[in-house]
Amino acid sequence: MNDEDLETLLRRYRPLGPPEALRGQIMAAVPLSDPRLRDWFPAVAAVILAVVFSWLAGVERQRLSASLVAPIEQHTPLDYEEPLR
Amino acid sequence: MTRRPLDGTPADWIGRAYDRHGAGLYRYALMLLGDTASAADAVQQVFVALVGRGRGSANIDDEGRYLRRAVRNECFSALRRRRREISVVADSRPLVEPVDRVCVDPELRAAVDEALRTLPSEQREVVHLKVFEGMTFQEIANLSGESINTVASRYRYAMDKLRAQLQVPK
Repeated sequence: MNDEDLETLLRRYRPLGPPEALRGQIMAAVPLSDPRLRDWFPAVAAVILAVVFSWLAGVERQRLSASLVAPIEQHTPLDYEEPLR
Repeated sequence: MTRRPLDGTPADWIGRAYDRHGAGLYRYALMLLGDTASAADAVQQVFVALVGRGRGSANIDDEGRYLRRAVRNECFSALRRRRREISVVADSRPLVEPVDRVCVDPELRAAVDEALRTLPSEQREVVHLKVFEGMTFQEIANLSGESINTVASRYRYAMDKLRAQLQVPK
């Protein structure tokens, strides 16, 4: 029997195929989110934090300016009265 | 040479890649490792690693060749670990099944299975790629990184052993 005949004999067989469950196992191990999007998460999170803190600072500035009393009027020299002697 | 954009979620493109190449990769891994559980592990490792690669895998020109090489690397890593740990793999499931179920000779099937199991992984790999996948020695050499002479020698040794195991005259 030459190589060709032996190959013909072997080709009557083929390696076993994968179990049905293998596809499911692989899909279960795949993360749901796209890794390409995951790369952008830190940048997007930083932008969102910057916007939120900027808005909070604005709100706080408004609250403070509303609660502060009006500045005390300055006494001019004309208002000054000589004390009685 | 086709580029395959990563459309959809990882589940979408991994599912598509598995449907195109999964069965062939599993058969290759089974022939290299000789047991079904390790073959399934190797294929799963490769697909999970493909997800981790993410954007990088969009630039893979030949997806099939890339995955086959990845499975090969994974299988030989597993074989090295197995040798280090001196673990014995006992798998009662056969390596091969008849293509045509009408003319099945159980004894011949068992003999072919046993003969293939006696081959070293490197020789079994060459037999698998040459006989079952129809690759040329040059293509096998490109995949394995060996010279074409080495590949041809492995094939020759493998065929001689198979012939002796199956007790068929030359």
